[in-house]
Amino acid sequence: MPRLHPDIHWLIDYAAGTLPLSHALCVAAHTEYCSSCQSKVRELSAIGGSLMSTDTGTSNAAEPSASEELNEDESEALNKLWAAIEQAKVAQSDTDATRPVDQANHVNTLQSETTAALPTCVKKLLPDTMEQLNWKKLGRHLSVTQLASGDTQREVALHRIHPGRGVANHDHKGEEVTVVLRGSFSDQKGIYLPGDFLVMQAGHSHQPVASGDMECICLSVLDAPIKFTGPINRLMNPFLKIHPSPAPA
Amino acid sequence: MYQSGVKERLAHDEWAAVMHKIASDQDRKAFAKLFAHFSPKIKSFCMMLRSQHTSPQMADELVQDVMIKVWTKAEYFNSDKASVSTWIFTIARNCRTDYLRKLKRTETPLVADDLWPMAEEEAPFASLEQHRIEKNIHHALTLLPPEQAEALKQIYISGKTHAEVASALGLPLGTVKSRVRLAIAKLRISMSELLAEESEAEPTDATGSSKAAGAELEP
Repeated sequence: MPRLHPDIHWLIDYAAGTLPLSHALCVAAHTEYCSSCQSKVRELSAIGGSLMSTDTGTSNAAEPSASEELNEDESEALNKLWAAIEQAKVAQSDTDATRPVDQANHVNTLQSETTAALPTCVKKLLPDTMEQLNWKKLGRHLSVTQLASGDTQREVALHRIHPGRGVANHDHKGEEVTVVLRGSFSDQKGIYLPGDFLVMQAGHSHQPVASGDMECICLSVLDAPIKFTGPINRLMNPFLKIHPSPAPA
Repeated sequence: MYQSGVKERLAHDEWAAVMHKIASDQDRKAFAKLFAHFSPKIKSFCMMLRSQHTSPQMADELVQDVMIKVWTKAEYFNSDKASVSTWIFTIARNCRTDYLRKLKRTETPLVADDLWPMAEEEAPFASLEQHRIEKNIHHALTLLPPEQAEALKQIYISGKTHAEVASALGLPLGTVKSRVRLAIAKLRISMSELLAEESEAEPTDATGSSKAAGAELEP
């Protein structure tokens, strides 16, 4: 069970559906490790269900036994709906025909040692094996690969730190959200285990080191580029920028 | 209070029964009943979204998307894990997210159902209490001070961030955050009180602890 959880406001925004997609991905990844946040989200979603059924200015006849006649517009909408459901069925049987290929891919994913333990929502963004990703080296022991989350304002990436190795001391110019997916790392403040959810504010500086037994893989979402503070690594700063999902042409 | 609780529970179970008819018999009459009740609610939920894209046409499209999912996914509805209205809310929230994402035309394999897995897919940690908690949230919401209920409504129904709620109400962000936090705390306290009331033969004083959390923190 993770030790560091998203703040209640994050969970509320997640349940309400107002979090940016990249942040929602982080919360979703965390909840795959955390049963307590899962049940909180379930409670918080129930608030949405209750608000939708009472506060939207429609009649509040709560009982299905009460007669609810459809007006003309509604009957027409229902007829359209049946037609759309028929169409959806046809489309579904078309996709079913192509499914064996998907399943073959799925098996590959499971066989790949490094991706097997990652959360389902993150795996959706990954190719069959970790090696197929376009890893870029940021220093000797850290590599990074951007993921297409659909968020046009933030960069979503996987970070991979070699076992027992550290990342150069760096500042955060914007907010960074990190979820540990595999292995663990530590910094001046403590040790972070799989599922741990960290929000680092702008101006925060730290020097993470992966634990010695295995490499550490983290999901991270950046608002603005990080900045290395060491004398040599500082030379890399001009080359660091965030890579959000491309905006539409 | 007791009576309204019983009535809500009855309604909750009846809608669950309607869902089961849809799931097991593909009962079109049952679906029409559900449609008559929920489609106006889904439509006004969509109409209240604060977005440049909000329009009656968008709302109608979304009602259709949501109701198609209700029909095709009916077998996954589990009344032990969520009430019908919560289940439909989560579908509507996901459809709304996908609708807005498609408008932005960004390239990603992710769909809302990946980011907000629906209750039926969360089986490993299913909570046995959920069924009862749900029934009581409904009642507890009616007891919230209006300004706290308003803040929740703007977040859940109008889809605003905390910062957007603050600017809409002309309040500091901290005030909105504390209203929301107090509302949630109060709902959780009310929930546990009602749960205690149900399980104990002797009803406990239901007002005591909610008063303790009642003071609004204004910075």
